[in-house]
Amino acid sequence: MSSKSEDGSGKETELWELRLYVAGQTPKSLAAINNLKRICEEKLTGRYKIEVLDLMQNPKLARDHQIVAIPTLVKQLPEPFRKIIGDLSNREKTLVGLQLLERSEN
Amino acid sequence: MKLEEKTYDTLRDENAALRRRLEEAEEMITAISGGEVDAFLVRNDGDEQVLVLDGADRPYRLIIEKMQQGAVTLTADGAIAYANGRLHDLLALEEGLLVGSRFASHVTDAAVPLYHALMESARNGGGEAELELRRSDGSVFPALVTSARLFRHTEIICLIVTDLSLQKADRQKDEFLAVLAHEIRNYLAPMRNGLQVLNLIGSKAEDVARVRQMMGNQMESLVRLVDDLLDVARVTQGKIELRKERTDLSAVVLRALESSRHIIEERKHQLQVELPSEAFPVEADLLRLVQVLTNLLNNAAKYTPSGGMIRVSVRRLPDRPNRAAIRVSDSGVGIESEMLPRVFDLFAQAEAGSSRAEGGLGIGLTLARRLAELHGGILEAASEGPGRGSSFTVELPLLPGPKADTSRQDTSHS
Repeated sequence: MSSKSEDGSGKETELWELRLYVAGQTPKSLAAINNLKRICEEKLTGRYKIEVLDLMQNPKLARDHQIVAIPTLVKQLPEPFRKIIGDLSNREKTLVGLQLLERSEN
Repeated sequence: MKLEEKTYDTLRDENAALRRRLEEAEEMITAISGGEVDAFLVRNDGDEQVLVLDGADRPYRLIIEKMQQGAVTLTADGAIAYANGRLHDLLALEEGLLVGSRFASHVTDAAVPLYHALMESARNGGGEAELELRRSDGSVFPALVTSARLFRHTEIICLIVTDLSLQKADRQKDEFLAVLAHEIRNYLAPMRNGLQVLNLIGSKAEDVARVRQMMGNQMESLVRLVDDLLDVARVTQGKIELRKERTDLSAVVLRALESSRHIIEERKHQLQVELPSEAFPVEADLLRLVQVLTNLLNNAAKYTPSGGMIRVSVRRLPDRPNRAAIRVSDSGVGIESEMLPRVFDLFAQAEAGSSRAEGGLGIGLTLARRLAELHGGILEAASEGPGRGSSFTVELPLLPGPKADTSRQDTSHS
């Protein structure tokens, strides 16, 4: 089911599995959910899956990914595995982190 | 050589891993210092817990601050740890004054046992009770208080306070309407009987005159009741217009005595009147001010058993010579102390009426107070208790004496 990403920006057909760790409905958690949905709808239409995990309800869920700061986004698939910390409000930083955009040189 | 290569590969991998971890740490610091995170997961003794940064709960605080119920958290010993703005409003206290005080100190003595029961049920999960709370000015209002324990492992208790005054006012209005219907019916029944009697007795002159007189009296009372009701409605809606002119208070009193003479004489009361020798000028609508005093006199006559004493006096206030006090006192049934602040309350009277033999709605008093206020005055009631008479005092601002004209000249430009 997993297919390797070769060029970093991902193939048009592979499924993206994303996991977002939030803390209840804190403002940054809500912002992260919104920002992530917007980016996915735009760049990954129809081939992404977002799992939102509320650590307020079950803090033990963080054990999988060594979460410290919240919100944190984890890209599980396609590889490579990546963590992006914060509310994803910086669009360019988020796209670079997800490897949907080449890092700009400056 | 192979060994060296392996070492080199291992070192390179380690280096890449370290670099990755460093990058991650750097990203975290950037995200934190950029304000992009507002919660952290901390671990102690293998137990994870989410810590939320101050301010992350601000949206909820805002909701709680703006909601229409009072909200409060209490420490285990019943001291207020947090209270929202609405609770300060409900208790007529300035923002911030509630923290540290005991919630029980805002509960009326009678309701304290109920409050303790409510706290007990909070410790077992939650409950609710109707309590009377006291405002900072001493007035009391009914409230529904819901309790809940905030966290499973702490003794912090959370209360939600809903003001029930409106519901109570609604109830009072219903009672008022019921009593009003009875009052109107009481006037109508003798009139209907009268008509039947007239039909029966034909035209025996003296009987007809007596029945007609009775019907006329009933009709007068009914018309007065309905007029008062209309006036109260007009004053409440601000639709009453005063035709103010310079008037002497003694003239007002004399006019009022004239229109109340009938009921005072009918009930065989003695009347003692004390008027000042000098003129007490006020700016007033003569008819409306007469109406205030007539209502007070009729009230005194009505609530004093036959053959009582009614005193009327007009004096300057000793401590404020620019104000006059008109006092109407009687030797009548008096007023219970807890009723005193409410005798002018239109809808509270009906409630108390059932326990008062004379019944009545007290519309006249409500109207009198509102009219006195429209004249820049106040109307207050006093009584030493049931059976010990009552007195009603109207305080009004006096106009400056005849000197007023000269003082105006003094201040005009030359």
